[in-house]
Amino acid sequence: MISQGPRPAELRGAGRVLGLAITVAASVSACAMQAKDAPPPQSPAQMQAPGGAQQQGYGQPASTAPPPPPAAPPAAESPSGGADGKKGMAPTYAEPPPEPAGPTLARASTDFDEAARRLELSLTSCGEACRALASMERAAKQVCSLAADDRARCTDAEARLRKARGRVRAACGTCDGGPTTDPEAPLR
Amino acid sequence: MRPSRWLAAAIVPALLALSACAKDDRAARSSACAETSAAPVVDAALLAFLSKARALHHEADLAEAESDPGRAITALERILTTPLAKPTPPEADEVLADTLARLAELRAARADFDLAVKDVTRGLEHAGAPTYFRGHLYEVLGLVEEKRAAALAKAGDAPGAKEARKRALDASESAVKIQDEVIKRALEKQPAAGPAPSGKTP
Repeated sequence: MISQGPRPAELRGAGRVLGLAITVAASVSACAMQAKDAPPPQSPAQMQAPGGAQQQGYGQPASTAPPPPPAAPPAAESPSGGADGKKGMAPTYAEPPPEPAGPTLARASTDFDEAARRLELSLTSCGEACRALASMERAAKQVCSLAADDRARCTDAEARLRKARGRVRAACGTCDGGPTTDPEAPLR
Repeated sequence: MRPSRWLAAAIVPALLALSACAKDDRAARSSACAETSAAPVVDAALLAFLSKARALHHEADLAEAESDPGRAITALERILTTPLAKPTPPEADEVLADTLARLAELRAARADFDLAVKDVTRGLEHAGAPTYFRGHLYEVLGLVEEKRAAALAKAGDAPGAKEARKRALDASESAVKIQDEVIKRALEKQPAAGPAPSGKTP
């Protein structure tokens, strides 16, 4: 009965997901460091979904994926013709850079670490924003119930809440099990 | 979110970090973990504190579920009396701030308004920066003062009730502003933001 107001169960998933994400990331990272004899793992950018489409990490914006390692020579050195358009000539290939197993694994590990860092940051930021949004909503409701003589304060609190909802929606989508991110939703 | 849940999320990474360092020591003693080997005592103390706090919040959950706020308060007070290194680690500050906010709610429900305000004031000492915890403390302060206003009004003290309502309004308004700032900052930290592919957040 005491916890009905400011301490809802609406964000319970955040801690679990964050903890799980960090656990998985750390575990896989530790395994990658230990698997020195294993073949080099794919970088996150190379991972493919079963259907062939590129699979995107949870909460990972497409534009923030780490750059994939160079997989093909540049177009100017492709077998179909150089940049000068002289097709039919004997193709020339650039020497691939020496790439022993160690550095490949290290690069993959670095890619993974970077992806894990970004994923963690994204989850942390959205979790924090959703938690703050829930508190903000409760406080705004409180302001409006108390400001009977000063509607401007209620209007201001509502306006701030709407903008905050819009920001969270733009960055995170929804708050799973948490406060609404619909700017037009009424103050509940 | 219940503290016992987010405390779990705080403990897991810390345990993993310690575990990774322990493995590394066995294997090669050559990674960056070796450089942090001077700190395990502090980390172990912090972990012990977080673990204890989690257990006591859980105990408070159970007490509340059994409508026994007195036992819940006793459990939470034990967190506050746990010795901690100075300066207090940020993780511990967050736990203390949240614990004090919860204590204030429990005390307000028992009409111990002055004690509740003291808890909020102490909590704010652990949450100086504009964080969720600071905003939450102001949110709780608004609730405490609103309950006080209702109690005073019921007792026929209209001027006192009016003052308490004003304090409640000011505190709630502060909470709105602080959480607004927290959200802005949290989303600024996000890497090149775009909607999550699933449209979901944790």
